[in-house]
Amino acid sequence: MTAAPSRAIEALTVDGLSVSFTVAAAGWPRRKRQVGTLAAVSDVSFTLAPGEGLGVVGESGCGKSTLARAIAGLAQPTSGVVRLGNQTLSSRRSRSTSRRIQMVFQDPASSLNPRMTVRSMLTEILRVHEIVDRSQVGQRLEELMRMVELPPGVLDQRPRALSGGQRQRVGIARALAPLPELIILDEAIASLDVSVQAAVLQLLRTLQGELGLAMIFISHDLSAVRGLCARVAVMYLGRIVEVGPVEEVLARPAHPYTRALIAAEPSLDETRLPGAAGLAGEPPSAINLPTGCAFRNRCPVAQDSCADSVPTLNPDAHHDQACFFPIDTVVPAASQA
Amino acid sequence: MTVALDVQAVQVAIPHHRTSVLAVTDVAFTIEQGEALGLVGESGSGKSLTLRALMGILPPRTSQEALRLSYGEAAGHRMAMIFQEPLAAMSPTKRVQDLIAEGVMATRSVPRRAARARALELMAEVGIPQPAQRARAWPHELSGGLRQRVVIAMALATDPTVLLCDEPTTALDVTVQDQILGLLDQLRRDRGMAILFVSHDLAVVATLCQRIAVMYAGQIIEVGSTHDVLRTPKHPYTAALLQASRSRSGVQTSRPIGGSPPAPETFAEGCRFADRCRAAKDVCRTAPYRLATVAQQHATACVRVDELGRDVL
Repeated sequence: MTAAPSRAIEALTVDGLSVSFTVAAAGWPRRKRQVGTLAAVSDVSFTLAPGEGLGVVGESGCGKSTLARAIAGLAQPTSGVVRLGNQTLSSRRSRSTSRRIQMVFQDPASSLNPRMTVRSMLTEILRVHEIVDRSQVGQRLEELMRMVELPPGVLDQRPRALSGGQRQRVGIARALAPLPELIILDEAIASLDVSVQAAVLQLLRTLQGELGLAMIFISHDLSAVRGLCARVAVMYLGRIVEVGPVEEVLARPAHPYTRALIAAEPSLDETRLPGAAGLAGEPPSAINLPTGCAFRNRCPVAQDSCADSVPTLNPDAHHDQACFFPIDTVVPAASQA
Repeated sequence: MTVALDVQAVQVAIPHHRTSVLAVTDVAFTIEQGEALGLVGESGSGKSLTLRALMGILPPRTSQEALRLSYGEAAGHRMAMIFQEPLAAMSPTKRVQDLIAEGVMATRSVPRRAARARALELMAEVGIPQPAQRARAWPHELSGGLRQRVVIAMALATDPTVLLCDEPTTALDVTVQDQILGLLDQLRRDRGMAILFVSHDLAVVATLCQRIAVMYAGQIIEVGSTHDVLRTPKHPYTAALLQASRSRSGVQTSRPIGGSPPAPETFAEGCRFADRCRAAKDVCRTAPYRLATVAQQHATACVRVDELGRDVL
């Protein structure tokens, strides 16, 4: 499909990645006093094979966006490493390494330069990364437009003249332009209408099949992940609490949080009652995390011993999960809908 | 059942260059007491304008060209509204107890002390844990879910018979959204309150509402019980929307709706979905809008509904 040079595609390894931020005192005048440490991502490890799709789901504040930014080199990890193949990627990336991982952001209106036409933004990327010969730029641009299913006329438009769905397609073309090995989509369809979401997801599925791209698809929406990724990781307050094949995790969630997340998801089944998830409260602040398991304050099956130590991911009968008292393999009714 | 709200006509004009154009043209429905009606549509379909026209809080420079409604026999009828962004619906300079007490005092002539006591009761009713301790909190100190509960308590303070909800759970996380939907459902049953719930998300509406009305380009194009609309949609747009929602989970491959909804200044004669509809014929572009009953409690604006097969619906 592409006339551009093909490059070797390698697997991504994330090992013990942590990102934390120091939080200063609120109020005015600002004092240079440190109030606490916000652990956005704590000790996250996973691998991603070339061409594989991984969904990352969780509620706001669970660290999924920070994880994405750390992998893409936009946030500084406190500890841990990100490797692509056998090359370790530091948080300061050279032009040639930054090319390899690209991101698509939630709001295409604010992630595209309003003063540049689509042609000039994409040309800039092709030139900076020296993707194709100068004479072939025009041809490559039309190819990119074809890949994201936009008419070539869009090239000479500025973002404000485009609809939300078209802008997000431009955002995807922008990410594809430097021939990345991995693209990270951070809530890339959340701000679109349902009918447009379906079309963009369809496009992503096609691209995945044609280009063999690895994808990390970050979303709060389990059903969108199910349609796009083979594996899913569920995050809660900075940690992966469960990870495994999508169908497997959705049909047999072992962690009580995953189960509540599945039960809380609205579905087109009118017999499902609102309030069925039965999960009280909201995630606590990530600044002063509870000791032990971060979920225990909301957990329906928590025991006293859950406060003693932080649970780590353990291989369960079917997939990895981090709960001291995992739910047995009984299929909850809500996941069958 | 008694009718809680009978809306016969809503028309809203929005500014366009130096004149104005009608963005909401054909909206009429009834809601019974203790019933939740979902108003579903994509952005720009006019669902929020409809709600704001009912409440009398249209944005500047928009105007209602027509608004006819009646409240049936319900005594002490009153409407209250909750919004997508709870923080924008609350004064940042008042403590939550006072915010709620304001509504109580506006409705009943009671002294401030009694209104504050009533506010505490309402905070307990909407499931705010330890209301006495939260009473003096400022809105910005609360989490998203608690803020939305306070806004619901503010709405309940006026003893509404109809609660208008403008995407109140869109900004919330799934588990919190589920809690708020559960709360609204409980209030509907306990108080016999009618709910008009606007959302772009069919799945959310299907969870909460007994009936669904689908809006497209300023018109209600289908209305029926949740079961009927989800299982046997009678308008190609509803069918396409349902398919888009299902295909997101990869269960079905999608056949995306091509094109985009028309802008109000380009509303044409006949069916406004015709340009995007795979089953459109000449008759669709001339037939006037009419919501025709096809089954009990199920009506559609599609003129070709009897000729359409399973491939379109």
